[in-house]
Amino acid sequence: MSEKYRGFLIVVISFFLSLVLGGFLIMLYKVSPIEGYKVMIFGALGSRYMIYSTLARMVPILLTGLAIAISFHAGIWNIGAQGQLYLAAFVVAAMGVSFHDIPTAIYLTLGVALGLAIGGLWAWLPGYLRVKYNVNEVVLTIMLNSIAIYFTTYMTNGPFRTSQGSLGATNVIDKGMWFNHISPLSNLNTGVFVAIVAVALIVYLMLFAKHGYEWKMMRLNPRFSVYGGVSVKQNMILAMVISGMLAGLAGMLLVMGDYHRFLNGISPGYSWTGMILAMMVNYDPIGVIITSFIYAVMTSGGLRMELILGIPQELVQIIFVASVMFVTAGYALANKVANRMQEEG
Amino acid sequence: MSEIIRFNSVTKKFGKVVAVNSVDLSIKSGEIHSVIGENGAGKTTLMHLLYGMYKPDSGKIFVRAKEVNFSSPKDAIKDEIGMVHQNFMLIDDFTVYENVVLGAEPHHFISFDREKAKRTVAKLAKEYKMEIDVNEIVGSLSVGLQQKVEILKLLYRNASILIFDEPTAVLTPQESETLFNTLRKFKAFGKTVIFISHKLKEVKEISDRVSVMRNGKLLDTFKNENLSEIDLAKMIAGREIQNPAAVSSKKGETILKINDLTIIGDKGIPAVKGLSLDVSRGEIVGIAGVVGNGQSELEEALVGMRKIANGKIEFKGVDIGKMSVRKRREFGIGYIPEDRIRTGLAPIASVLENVIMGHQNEREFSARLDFMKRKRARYFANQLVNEYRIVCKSVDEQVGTLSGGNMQKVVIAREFAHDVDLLIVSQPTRGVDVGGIEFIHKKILDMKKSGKAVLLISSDLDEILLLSDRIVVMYEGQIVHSTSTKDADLQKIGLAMLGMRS
Repeated sequence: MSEKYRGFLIVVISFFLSLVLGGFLIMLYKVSPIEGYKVMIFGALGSRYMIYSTLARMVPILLTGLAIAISFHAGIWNIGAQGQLYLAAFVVAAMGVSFHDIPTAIYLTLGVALGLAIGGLWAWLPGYLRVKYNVNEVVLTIMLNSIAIYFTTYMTNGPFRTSQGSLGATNVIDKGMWFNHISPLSNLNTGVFVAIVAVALIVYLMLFAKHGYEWKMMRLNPRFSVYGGVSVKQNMILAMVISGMLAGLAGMLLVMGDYHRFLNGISPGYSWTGMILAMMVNYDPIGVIITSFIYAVMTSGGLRMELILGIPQELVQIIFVASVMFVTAGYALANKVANRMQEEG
Repeated sequence: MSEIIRFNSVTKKFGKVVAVNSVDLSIKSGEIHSVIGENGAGKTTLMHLLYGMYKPDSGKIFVRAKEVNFSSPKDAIKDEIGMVHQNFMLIDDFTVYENVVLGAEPHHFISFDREKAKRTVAKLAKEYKMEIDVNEIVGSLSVGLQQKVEILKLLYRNASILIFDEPTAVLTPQESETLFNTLRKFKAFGKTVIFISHKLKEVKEISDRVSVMRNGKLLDTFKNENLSEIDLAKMIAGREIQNPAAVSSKKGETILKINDLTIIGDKGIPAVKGLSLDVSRGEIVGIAGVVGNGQSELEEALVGMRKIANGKIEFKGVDIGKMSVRKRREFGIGYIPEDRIRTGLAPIASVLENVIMGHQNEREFSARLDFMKRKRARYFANQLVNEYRIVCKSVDEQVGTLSGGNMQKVVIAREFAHDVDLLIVSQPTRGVDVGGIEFIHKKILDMKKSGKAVLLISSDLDEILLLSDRIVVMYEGQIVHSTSTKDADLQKIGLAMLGMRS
């Protein structure tokens, strides 16, 4: 059986098993699992507004998931997507509250460019240090996460504290910088088109471009890539910067599209969820798209399940975490079986 | 002579592959018995079965007429069976005697009796005429001496049946000769020696009897004196082997000029010291030498994977000393690296992904906007698989699951498919079976015939002699001997490899 097919099967079976597990938990609330999941799916996809909400949830997870996928795919470990997201979001918001009377088209372009630049820069730094001085990028990016998150909290409690209430947030950004909501009832906004373009580019880069091939070889055997004439140092930095830009894009869209301001808790662990999704599908970009959609459906529908059936939405997290465990166990099991088959035939 | 070991229709399967197929073999006490065959013929597996590393799926093994059922090498040692593996299992920082007694130390109550250990080991070495200082640190010894330490380990444990798995693969001719004397000594002392090899000359020189294996089956056992090397070769391969008599071709202009090259090795000391060498179109220059005398550093520096400290590398009249690997490749240098698993391949990537490396920038496989023509690449990979007879299920199979010979063919197919002017070929047939070797040698000669320059680096002296037009010997980073193959003197080359000037 080919590697790819095997991985796909493991993910599907694991997801099914965790749904079964979730089913038992639903039964504890004296609801039939079928009924429970029906409500969940209806809650996520039952109306145009619900679909919009689900898509809005999907965007930041998809973008951070791809950010992780592209760097891990290339064998450089960007654990700093969270920090890149925060810093880009804050800097974009800071611009949005500081400058006014700029034509919308220009302001939007500036915002997007700034978000990409800050995210990319915050990832370039550890990438450069890794390549130049062989500093471990995992440690660096984790540290840079803390710096970015605490720095932005500091700023929203100080110079950029909102004058419109008592949240840990900046003021609302200039309207010229808004991606407008598509429907007043959901967070989905015109920024989604920017996200679609970005996702398309990443899929192309990873699956169809020469760089995608070279990056994969870099992960599988860096020495082999050097031997084949790939300039590993440049490519490592490039993968890191693109990864950071995606995280920055996620942060920028949350500010310019969803909340129109920077909030201290702007990303409730989007990048960690994204990381788990990316690893679960072995950094396959199509896989990230599918799993982040499913994850969005479940979280979105979980809310409705709580409203209608009284089943706490934590159920969704249990199902999610269980499927991660099943996938891990599945790979271990598959390897064991494969080894035994090699030995015994 | 009485029988000491008997295999009774022993079979061992790995998956669908039958590595050892109902083998009957009888080994007599006190003989030197060679087992010969291609790589993958099942020789090593057969010995691992005797040594307790695997259990047979069916069949019985008798030692001294008693059926045995070893579950680990420990049991085999108890029955006085010892094995010297291809890769030594020694602790570099320990002395010779410490390595020898490790795990079975003589002791005074609870303290390690070092004096007794030294005495015992020195006495053993003397008994078998092995010249070695027991106080020497193992890491500083030559490969030949390290092998002696391995042998001493077995003798110290009273082994009377000694199995040697391709022991000469890493030795110089002189060291091999010393080893053979030791083996003869064992025979004189009544010990039984099982010698695994695919080098016909050695087998012919040393054995009493020879067993030939092919595809997991034991074809037959012969008395040595009834056999010629050619008979053996035919049986091993199952067909006639043709030695590619070095094809003469017109030597063209000098294409590679290495001048006073110095390279710093990984340990921070010069690995190559002021080396100069020219290679011309249409010739094969062979670099002989014991592994670790600067050959690895030299080949890496030539392709741009290692910095040079001093000197000049000129290729087609251009100084390429600072060019990137990619530029050098595009400029016409192909490279078959010494270590295919670590450098030449990405073992967990597919055959397709492996054969495209280095070609990915060519117009054939890349279009505008960084697009990679994967369909075209697949076609190309299939072509190479056919042309080079690479045995794989499909081009999507992981390279790491192929046999050593087929892995090497993937590397060679890829590098020879480039339109290059200079090929740097290092250890092209290490771990490759006889049939594969013949094929690879023919391909290398074809390259030369078509007017390409070839720099061949090999620790297999026979290979160098067979293919090269000129031979140079490297020792401690320098060229210590240089000759045309016509006038080559084996004695001189051997001594030069050991750093002794005649």
